[in-house]
Amino acid sequence: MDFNEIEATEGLRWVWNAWPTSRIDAARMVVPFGIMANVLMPLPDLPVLPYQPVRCKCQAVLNPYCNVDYTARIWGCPFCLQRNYFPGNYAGVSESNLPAELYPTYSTVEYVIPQKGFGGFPSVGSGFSSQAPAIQAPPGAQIYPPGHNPAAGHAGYGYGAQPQGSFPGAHKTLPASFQDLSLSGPPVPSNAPCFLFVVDTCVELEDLQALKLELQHLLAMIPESSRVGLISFGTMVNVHVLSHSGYSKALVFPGDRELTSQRIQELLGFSSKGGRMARQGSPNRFLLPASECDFEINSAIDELQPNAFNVQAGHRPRRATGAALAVAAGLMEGCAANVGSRIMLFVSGPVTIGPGIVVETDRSKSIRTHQDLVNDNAVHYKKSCKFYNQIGQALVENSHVLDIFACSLDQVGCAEAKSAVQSTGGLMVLAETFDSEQFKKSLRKLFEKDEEGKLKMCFNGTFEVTTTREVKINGAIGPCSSLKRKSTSVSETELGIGGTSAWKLCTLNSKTSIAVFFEVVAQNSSSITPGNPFFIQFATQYQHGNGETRLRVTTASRRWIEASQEQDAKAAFDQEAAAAVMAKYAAHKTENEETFDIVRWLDKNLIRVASKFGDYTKEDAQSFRLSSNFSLYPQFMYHLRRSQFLSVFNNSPDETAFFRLMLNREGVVGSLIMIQPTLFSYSFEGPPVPVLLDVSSITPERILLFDSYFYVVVHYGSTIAQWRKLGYHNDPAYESFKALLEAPVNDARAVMEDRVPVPRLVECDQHGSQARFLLAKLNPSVTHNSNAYGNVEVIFTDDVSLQVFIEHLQRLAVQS
Amino acid sequence: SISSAPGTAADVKVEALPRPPPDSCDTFAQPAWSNCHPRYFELTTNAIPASHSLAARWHLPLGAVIHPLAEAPPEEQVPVVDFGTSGIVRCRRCRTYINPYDKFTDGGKYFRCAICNLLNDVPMDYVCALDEQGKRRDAMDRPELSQGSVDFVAPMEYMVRPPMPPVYFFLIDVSVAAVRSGILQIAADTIKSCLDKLPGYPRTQIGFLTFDSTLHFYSLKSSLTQPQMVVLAQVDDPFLPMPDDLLVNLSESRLVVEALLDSLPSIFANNENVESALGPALEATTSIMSEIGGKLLIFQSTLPSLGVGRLKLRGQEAHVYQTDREPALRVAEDSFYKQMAAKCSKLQIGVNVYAFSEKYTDVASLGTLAKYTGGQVCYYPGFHAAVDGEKLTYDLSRDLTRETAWEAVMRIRCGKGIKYSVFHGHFMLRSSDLLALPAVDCDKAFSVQFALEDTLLTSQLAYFQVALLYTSSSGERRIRVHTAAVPIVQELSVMYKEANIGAVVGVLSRLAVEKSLNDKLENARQYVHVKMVNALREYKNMYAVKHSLIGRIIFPESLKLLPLYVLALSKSLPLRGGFMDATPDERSAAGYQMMTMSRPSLLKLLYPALIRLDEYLLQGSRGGGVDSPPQLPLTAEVLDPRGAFVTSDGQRFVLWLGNVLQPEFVAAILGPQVAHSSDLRKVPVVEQDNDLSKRFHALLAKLRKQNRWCHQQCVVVRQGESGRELQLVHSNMVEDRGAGFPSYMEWMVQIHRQVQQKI
Amino acid sequence: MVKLTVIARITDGLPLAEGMDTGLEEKELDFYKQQAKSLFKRLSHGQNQPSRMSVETGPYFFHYLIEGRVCYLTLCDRSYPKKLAFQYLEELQREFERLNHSQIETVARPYAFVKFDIFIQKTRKLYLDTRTQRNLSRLNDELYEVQQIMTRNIQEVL
Ligand SMILES: [Zn+2]
Ligand SMILES: [Zn+2]
Repeated sequence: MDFNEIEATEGLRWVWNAWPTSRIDAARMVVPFGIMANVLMPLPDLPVLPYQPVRCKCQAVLNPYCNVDYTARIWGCPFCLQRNYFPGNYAGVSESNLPAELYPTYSTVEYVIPQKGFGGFPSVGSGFSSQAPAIQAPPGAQIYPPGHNPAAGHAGYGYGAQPQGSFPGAHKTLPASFQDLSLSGPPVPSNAPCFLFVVDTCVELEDLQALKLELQHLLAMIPESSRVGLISFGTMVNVHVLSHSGYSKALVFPGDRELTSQRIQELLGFSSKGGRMARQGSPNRFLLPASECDFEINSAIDELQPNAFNVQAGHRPRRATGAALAVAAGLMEGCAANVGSRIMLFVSGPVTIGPGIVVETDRSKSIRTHQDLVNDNAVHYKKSCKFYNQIGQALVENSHVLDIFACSLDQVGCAEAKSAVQSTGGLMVLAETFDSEQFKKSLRKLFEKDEEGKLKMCFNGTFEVTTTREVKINGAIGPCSSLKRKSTSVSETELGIGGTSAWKLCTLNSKTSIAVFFEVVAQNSSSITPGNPFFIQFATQYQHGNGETRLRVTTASRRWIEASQEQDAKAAFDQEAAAAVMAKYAAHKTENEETFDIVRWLDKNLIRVASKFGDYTKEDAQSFRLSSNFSLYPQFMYHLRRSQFLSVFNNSPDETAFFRLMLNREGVVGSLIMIQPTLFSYSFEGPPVPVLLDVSSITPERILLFDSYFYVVVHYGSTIAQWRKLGYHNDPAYESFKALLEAPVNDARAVMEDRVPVPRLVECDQHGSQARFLLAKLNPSVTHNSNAYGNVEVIFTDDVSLQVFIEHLQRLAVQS
Repeated sequence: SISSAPGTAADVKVEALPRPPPDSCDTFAQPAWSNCHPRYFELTTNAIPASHSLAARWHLPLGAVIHPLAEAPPEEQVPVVDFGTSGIVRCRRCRTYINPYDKFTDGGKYFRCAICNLLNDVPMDYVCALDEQGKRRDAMDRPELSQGSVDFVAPMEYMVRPPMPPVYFFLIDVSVAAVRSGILQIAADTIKSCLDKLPGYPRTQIGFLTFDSTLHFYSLKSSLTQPQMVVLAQVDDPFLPMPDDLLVNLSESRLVVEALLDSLPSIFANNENVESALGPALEATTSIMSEIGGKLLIFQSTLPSLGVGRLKLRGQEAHVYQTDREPALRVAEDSFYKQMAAKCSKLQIGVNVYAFSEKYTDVASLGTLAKYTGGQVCYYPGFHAAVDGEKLTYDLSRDLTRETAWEAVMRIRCGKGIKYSVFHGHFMLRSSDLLALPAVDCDKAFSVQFALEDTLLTSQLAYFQVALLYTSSSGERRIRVHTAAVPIVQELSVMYKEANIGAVVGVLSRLAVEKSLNDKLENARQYVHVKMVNALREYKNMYAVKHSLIGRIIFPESLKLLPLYVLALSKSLPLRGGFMDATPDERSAAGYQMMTMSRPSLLKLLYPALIRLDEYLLQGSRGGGVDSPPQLPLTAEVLDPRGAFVTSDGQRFVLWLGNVLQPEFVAAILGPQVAHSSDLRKVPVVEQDNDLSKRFHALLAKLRKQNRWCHQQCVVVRQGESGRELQLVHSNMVEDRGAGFPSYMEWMVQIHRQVQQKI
Repeated sequence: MVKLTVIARITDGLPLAEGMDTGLEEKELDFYKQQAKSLFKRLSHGQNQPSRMSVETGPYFFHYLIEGRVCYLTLCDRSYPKKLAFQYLEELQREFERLNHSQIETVARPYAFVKFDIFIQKTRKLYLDTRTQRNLSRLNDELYEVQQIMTRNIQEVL
């Protein structure tokens, strides 16, 4: 099975692509039944349907696996097995006139939900009535052969004339008149996302200047109908008034006090206490369509000055980031509740006053380290985390996203604020200055537009999962939060964010991935027949960058297997998905457990996997073999143990928070790079080749391109470095050397092009100080403990090497 | 020496009752010897009793009206004396400043202190030979030895910090009432027009804070072109949103300040906010001003309704009057205002309160701020820009540009055997005899009462020295010293003969107003009344037997107007009648004003001038030309329905138009458009293009000139306009019955009867 | 940070001008003003005083420079760079002399040049934040030498 190919049609990676029929057998599979769902994965032939989906009483959406009785106009739900009548507007449905969602190859379809006030439902009705030519089969329509999809076990019917694979998106085929009716019309401004900039002014003038320019650049990229707002903060929090007034005006809040959202809204003039009239004027003084306040917000940004309050010698500036965020959240709740929006925090140092404080202003007190957290020495940590948790919850309730752009040499408090960013799906960027490429590029990438000129970011997502009765949901891990929707599919056992069958995704994009965990609840005595299919439906509703509300429905089918048939089980294992899911799971566990315990848990788990799925003779370590589906898994686990997610040594709590946050939302491919970076070698010997992530890969004549997701390192072997220093590449006689030098850099740029936040590019020479970025990640096959010969690179570490690790594993796996 | 007037009431004609002659209010006696001019210091009697027993028979207050910075004509400016680094010569013991009454002895090596009699060394470089009479030869060249008033340049010892610059901070209510009535526009325009005239260039500082339910701060940083406005909505615990630039140097930030004043009215043009967070605004303001102090001008258009110092409606029920709860209406309801005033005093902040609302604003509470900081209360009930704008413009300009003394303290020293007992006016007592005056100006007067110590006064003269230590607007620390000497007498009759009615009324009025703050109005009036009757009885007893004048009322010439002024005082706004006769705010505002008024202003207010206008003007136009129109007794009887009359009380002209007055006259004065207007309340009196009107305005201008401390605006009332006529005209007719008081004639009879009664 | 600035005449200790605002509590301010006064008194009596000196007092430093019989004195935080403090004083000195040169000897009135406080305040603001470009470059000015300026304790001086 090519799991990547399946992913390309479904957007799903199943750890196990076939599940045993009973709870007990399932428990013996060791690795959880996780599915990595790339919820909005770009799919080449995704049908986009301009009407409301038809739902079963159980909320499952009509799909190709449903049993349809065309004469009775009844369809059977494969999840709850109930029978449903088609709605009136499906009157025209027949075997020869099928809506796309029943078309067997379309296990994934996307609905454009008609917006209220634009005809909505009736337009769909006309779609299926015979009078509506728009939906009628084009001339020459062919009936799709019945029984085409054996897994579904029911007849599927063709609707389009085009051959499979080239079916254009439904709305592309719609005549303009129909589009006018359902899809276009004036933009609904209330729906347009808001962008609230929350800007730290405790910044050096030069850096502030850079930030101001960047914000103004950003404003030019933001769609005109989007509302924008500006909060600046230092010791005080200023909410800038953007309505035209001819003078600069801001509402000020104290930075050192914690105010409730309600109080903030009162002070903003949104709501009022005791029946007093709200007299602050309309709320939209602070958040206005970019087109209306272009001048005001640009000049407000222009006028931002570094915090005027003096910083005492030996003290940090009084920076009220927490209070600013509370005000931002209150402001957004007051005038953009449930409008998918972003609060974008630009901060350049630690929170030193008010809620969310990280460290006191006194510089003699240092910022908390991992050590402090472990020893419970971080006095503010728990309280601050709680504060951000609350902010996060409030944001989620209102569909608002928190992004943190931390450009500072210090920590700013990302560790504390992580939960709010993660639960809202926001972006976190750590850079050193606002003038850095890393910051600017990451910010601009966030606002990239699609070919239609719409923002690529989507908002206000809900992600629902429906299962067959024999399967229940444990939970999900990803940039989402629980919608607390109880259904029969929800398990008592929680793994990740559990207790629900639906999650909120305040923002999402084509890369957003969620790991969902399941369990098989069927008893042994159940009537499940191995070989039969079972179904899981993923439905993601979201607001598209063009303002449309869409619902993507993926209905996936897999088969039950007999647990005793071990070959079937092994063949169904996707080790990459497994590693990614385990990594997310492990990172998730760090929120409540000590990393030491988590590493032990991972080890035990791996030993059990090896024990169960390895081929060996008992008590004979030498005999141990793993099939190809499992062969890389131990290596993945080895790197996961040593990764920045579990090994916090040398990283600050802020950095660790950032790494875990990024892992939390990545898909299989990205996660794997994070766990086990890629390493390519460029040399005169031929085209670039992947080489072992091992210190032995470093040689003087090689250029290495290393990608750990967060860093991209171009490492020049000492000989290459010397040549470069001598300027050979500038000599026409050494054209090939020039090409060799350019190749890895170009490849590095290509890698970076695709990533938000943009990774940090490090170019370094062998033995140079920057080389540490590479050395830290290489397998220490040669350490100062082993005997080093000649010109071999030595890594100073006490970690065990991969070989030693595998040897241990083999020994333990074969023990009975 | 005895002026005997009516015997019995029946004998006397109304016309013969004593009345103040024209311009008498503004007239002062010539200062005796080397005394300071009485405009600065005026005793209730220029004869100090030698003993307690004598003093006890005086019955009237033994005291003085002090007006330390009173404006003087150019030729009478107070001379400046600079002793340089050697320091001011003062008595070693009582710290009295060197003055014309100090006696030099031993060829000028010593001087004997006039106040405490101590023999002091004369500093070496101040020694000067004496002449045959024992006077210093340089006495006439040295103002401190020849004049009763001097300004000493203060040396280092008189400073705890460098002299402060003049600071003006404006705290402006911008709630809907302020915007609609046009106050904001006028205030902004006026302030702007005064920027060049504010004293103290180039050190002058200025700042603004506006408020409704929120506080609005303005950064006036000199590098800005437009002020930055920061709004603070959280008024329950106000804080300063920026560390600097809320109070700035005017010359540096001039353009930003002007930009702010230009845009202030439009910023709030559509403000619908009805709330007023004055208390929080005050807290923020005092924080802003705390480093330097200065003058705080508060423009309040509505009852403070939010945050600390919020006030509630009171004094609306008639039944509170005549009970023990009545006086509470006239003092601050919330202790916040007193505390804030104390804080301001400490921070060298002087507060002037401008109140505008027609509705209850609790002037009593607001005025507390001015009361303890040497400030004033200006009240424009129902302010209407078209009518009252000119007055506000004038008053505010005056406030901003007049001579002001900053971070001042005042003390009075008295000769042996005499001590001051109590001060009345707007100040805070810093120690037992030191008045703290953060900002005091040329329009503020005080009164003081003296008491005798147990020792008998044996010397010929009693001495008084008022010293005001202050910082001038130009940044000099100075001490203004007024010295006066008065004979000590053994005879009661001399005391009565030397009585000064103006000073007596000046002290009595303040006593009565103070009394009204802790007692019923009726008792406050009674208090003054009893003093007067006792004094007259004493006087009668002194002479009646001797001269067989039993049955006749007699009084000294010097006090012949006393009954009239006491009657007028009893009918004045702060004291008049009861619930129905004045709103609590009117009373409070008038009371606060009375506490700071100069003697001339007070007398004018109590007994306004009444002029028949039509005759005066017509005579003039016929070429007759009368310089000063005759003054009429203040009784409605003289109001001829065929005539037009003007009353002038120093604060307002009321133009009364008789029912059958020639319409042409009315048209000429008011202008043809408004002459027939049924509602004259909002009609401004502006000069028309005709002779009559021009002469009319020339007259007003002349009268205004005598009275520079506030603008006398002119209001018009028609005969028969019941409510307004009563309020504006009849309430001024102090000789008529009204507010529970009899007519002047009846009053005299009543007093006569009371004087006859044995105690 | 500059807490207090006083300009006084050496001959008699007469204060000529003073900065308006400070960052000190009232009591503290009085205390250090008194110390400054005593310092001036010492200076007026002393002979051959060094023209530049730093005097340690409590958590602060007095820095002063004497030029043309006038003493320019400032009270700064201990951590405030000496280099900046003296450049600040020099800036005051140049302007003060330029404006008032002819009258310095003759005035008798304390704070006769009270108007100079505007300039003091303006200049003080420029020196407030040691991290501004302007001040950083002053700090790095290698030609400006503060090494030989003596530092004494207030007890030794008074
Ligand atoms: Zn169903
Ligand atoms: Zn004496």
